[in-house]
Amino acid sequence: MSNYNRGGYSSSQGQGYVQDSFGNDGAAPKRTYNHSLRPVTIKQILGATQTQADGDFKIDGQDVGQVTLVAAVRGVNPSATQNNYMIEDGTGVTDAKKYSSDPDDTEELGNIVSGTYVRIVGAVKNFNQKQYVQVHSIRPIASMNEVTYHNLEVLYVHVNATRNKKGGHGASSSSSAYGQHHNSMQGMSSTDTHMRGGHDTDDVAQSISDFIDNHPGKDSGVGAHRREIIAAFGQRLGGDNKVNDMIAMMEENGHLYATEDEHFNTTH
Amino acid sequence: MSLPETKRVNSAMLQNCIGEPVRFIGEFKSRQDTMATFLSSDKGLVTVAMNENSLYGTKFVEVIGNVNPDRSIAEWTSSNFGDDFDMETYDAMIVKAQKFPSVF
Repeated sequence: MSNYNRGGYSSSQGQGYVQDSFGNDGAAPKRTYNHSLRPVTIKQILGATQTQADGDFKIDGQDVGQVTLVAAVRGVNPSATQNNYMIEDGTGVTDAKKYSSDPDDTEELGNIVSGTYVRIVGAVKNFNQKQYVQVHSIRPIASMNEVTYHNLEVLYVHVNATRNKKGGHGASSSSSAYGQHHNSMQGMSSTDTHMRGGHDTDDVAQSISDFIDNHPGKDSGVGAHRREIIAAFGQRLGGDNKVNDMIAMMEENGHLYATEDEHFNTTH
Repeated sequence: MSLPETKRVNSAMLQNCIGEPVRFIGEFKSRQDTMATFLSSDKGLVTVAMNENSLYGTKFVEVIGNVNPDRSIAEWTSSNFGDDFDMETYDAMIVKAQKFPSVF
């Protein structure tokens, strides 16, 4: 039982801010709590990988914060400390454990019996080499259509996760419309920043405009020299040529115009 | 009771699952002795061999059981799935799910 507290969990279950140690000496970076919520099947939970013991789990290569799933309860084992539910959803079987510290517990036990389909929100944990779910909330589903809905949501998130991983579709992918999934995407590796370059372009153009506006040359109408713009934005855009391309594009769009001798000014 | 992995099926998929445990949701149509007839999500008819615990309370029922060689399902357990279950969406979902064995 003491395994659960390894790593210094603080406050109530499911909301605790996970800290490495008291008085972090900076050797290991502080782990920020992952607020993403991922719809999954039990098969995905059982197949989740862990980079280090007590570390975050990954599903489809993405860090997992909390998970949500819909499953049928096949066994209920209440105890003083926590209620243990055996759940299955056709893709696998696992345990879902909920600490029985809340006063609404008796109502929960009354509503959830073997055969009940439930919606669970919780975290993926590991005990004795096996994954289980540490339950934050569990309730019977109101309509059985939620089963269909959940499975569709699982498919959608899975397709987005695995498709984007290949780096094919970039910033235009529909994942940005899926709020909570977008959060978990930002935790990904640096290949992601390349895909998000599309969004950055507009920001850079604005920044270049601002740069020229704030430049002493603005008042005289001369603007900033190309070299200065390159110096300021070369690294951000990834090279002199990229800056030149950006300047050319802004000229075409009417945001910049060339003044004397390689200087550029903003049009507004 | 610990259940093995069960695939969600409609009537067309039963042929490929003979001898395997499946999960079938159907609209209860009729019953004769121990055999019940259901309308599947792809508008086919499926027979279920009930057991002593079978109790169908709502229009839609989920049956979990093994597929017999004659494509009927030998029921292990069943759950009531209400009276307003969307069969069309469900059918589209299980067909799509077949393409993702890593998840389902």
